[in-house]
Amino acid sequence: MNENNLIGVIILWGQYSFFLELYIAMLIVLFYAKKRKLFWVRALVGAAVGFPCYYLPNLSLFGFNYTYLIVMSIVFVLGLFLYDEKIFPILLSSVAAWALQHVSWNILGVIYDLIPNVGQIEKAWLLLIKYFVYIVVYGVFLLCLLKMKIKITFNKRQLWSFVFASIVVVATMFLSQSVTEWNISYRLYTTLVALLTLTIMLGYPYLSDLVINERNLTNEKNNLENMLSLQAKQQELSKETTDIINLKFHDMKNQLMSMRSMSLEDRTESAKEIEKSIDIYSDIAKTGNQAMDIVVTQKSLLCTSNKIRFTYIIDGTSLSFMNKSDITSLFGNILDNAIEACEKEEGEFRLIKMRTYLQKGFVIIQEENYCHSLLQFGKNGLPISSKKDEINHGYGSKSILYLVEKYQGQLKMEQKDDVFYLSILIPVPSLK
Amino acid sequence: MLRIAIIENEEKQIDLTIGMIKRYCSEKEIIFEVTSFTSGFDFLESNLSLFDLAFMDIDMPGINGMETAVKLRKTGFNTVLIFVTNLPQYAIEGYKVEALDFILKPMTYADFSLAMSRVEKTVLSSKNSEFVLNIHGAVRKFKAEDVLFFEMIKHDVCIHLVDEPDVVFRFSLTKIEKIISEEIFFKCNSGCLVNIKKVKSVQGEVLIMEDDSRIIVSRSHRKEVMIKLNSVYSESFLPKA
Repeated sequence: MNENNLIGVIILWGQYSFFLELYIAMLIVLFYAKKRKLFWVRALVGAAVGFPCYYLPNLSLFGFNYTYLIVMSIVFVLGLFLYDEKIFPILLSSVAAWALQHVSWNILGVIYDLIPNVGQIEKAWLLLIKYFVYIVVYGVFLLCLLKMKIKITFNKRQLWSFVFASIVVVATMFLSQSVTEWNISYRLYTTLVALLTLTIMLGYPYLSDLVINERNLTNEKNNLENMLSLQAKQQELSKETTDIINLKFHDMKNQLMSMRSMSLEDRTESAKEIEKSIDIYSDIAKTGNQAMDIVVTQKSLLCTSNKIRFTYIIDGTSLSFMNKSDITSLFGNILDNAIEACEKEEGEFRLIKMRTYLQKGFVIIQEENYCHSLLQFGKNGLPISSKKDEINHGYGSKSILYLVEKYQGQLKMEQKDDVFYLSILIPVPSLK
Repeated sequence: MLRIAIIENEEKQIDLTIGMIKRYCSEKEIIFEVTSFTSGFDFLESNLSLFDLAFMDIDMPGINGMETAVKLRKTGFNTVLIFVTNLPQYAIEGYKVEALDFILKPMTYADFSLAMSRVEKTVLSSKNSEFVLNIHGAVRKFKAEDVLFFEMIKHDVCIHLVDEPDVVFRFSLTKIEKIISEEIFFKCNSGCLVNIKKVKSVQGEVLIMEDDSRIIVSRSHRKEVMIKLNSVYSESFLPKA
């Protein structure tokens, strides 16, 4: 086999050929990368800078030829010069470029091996075959890249594919140096390895993109379902609200009808009675903040119908700096959680107490309710929901935390002696 | 020792309340003392400084519970106030007299003990801590609650006090940290040790103290400050305007 002669024939400019093959492969791999200004000028400069590779002799140390490594390093540095990307994706791309070049080179080798009497063929034909193979392999790769829209980016998970690829590269370099007589099976083997490397390196970002997209879709779906279930709850609530009010009006109407036939004395007594009953069960909140009044009224009607005693001391004026919808959402969620907890309690333990007041420059919000089942708290300080319903899993608590943090406040939830305590501190923004 | 007043015109309700206090305090091993008053006037004429906690009926003849509470606050005592009532619409305005809570009649033990659990957190944990320092050769006693913050000025420590002039003496903050209570003091930057109870407001990364001095807190410490403030307010602070 006149392998060395053959190589001598098709390699026109020493290591500069290898440099160019690698350099072009890198330009292809980084097709979607962010190019620097005057990209094509830089690309030409890069091609020129690589020229001294022509003079690069075979350098070896401890039997290892590291000429290829030097060329690869030059290409890597040029990658940094050409593209406005982080070091890691460039490094990854130069390894991928090497794999691409390797695939082309070995396919070429296989083809030469398959041609009988290859040594007798004219140099021009050999070169034609070489460039044809390179153009086809590089072209197919570029097409795949375009079709799948792969962009090599920095990603911690990609680190592993990089480590794997680098090991393969180094191993193949050692291997290629210990093999003196190349044959088809060797070539096919290294081609396969290089292809595998390419697939892993490029397939990973592609797959992870797919996974992320799918995850986004699921999230969107979850959010939507949250919204829907929230709406459904609200409708249920307003239905319940009207039911309660209807019932009350019905009772009052009966009382008033019976009053017609009463003596004057009985009538005044009865009127007092009605007045008192309206007062006692008055769920209409007047806290000094409209949004707060609406939430508290709604929730206290819900509590009444669920036989929960809900008592509160609220200075609604202290919340004037907060957005109306934020107030509704914050207190709605706090009370929904409390009501839900109370539904698991029995009789006299169905209690909710809430306080909201101004203390110096802070709004203090405190709520407590009985909770006889032991709660687990997650890393974020929120209770881990025991609900099996994954979609609404802890959604309320998360949105409480989100809103408190939006106003730069602090949220604390704890459980002690079968009581759940919620404490919130929000600094009142200064009026500037 | 928890000193409790009951202001209630119905004997039956007084007995019920006392029964629950006894039950709660024996469960939690709290030493207590109860005095009952059948009218708001009697209560206001008594020695108000004696009480940590008052259970106040709202619907009483003569002077009602809310009026009594307003007068109590005018005297300046910050007794913890819990309304016991069948008139919730008055109790909701309880924040005006800094009421901690209210319990609806008929009173249940579950309701009573839930209210007491917050009282326990507030009254029993607000002990006054004191510390002693040798200042220019003289021993001087300080109450933690009188200190706004400690500040390092060159090689001296400056103690900023609530109603007294600053005290400056040769010392270090590290030594100060060793002798004071960790619970209420917080190091918010290398040169400042702040009494968390004297923080009036937080604006971005600046703490505003009660004397309006402004102290910068680093971003990394801000979260800790907020956590401390939240627990101070939820555990050892009484509503006080």
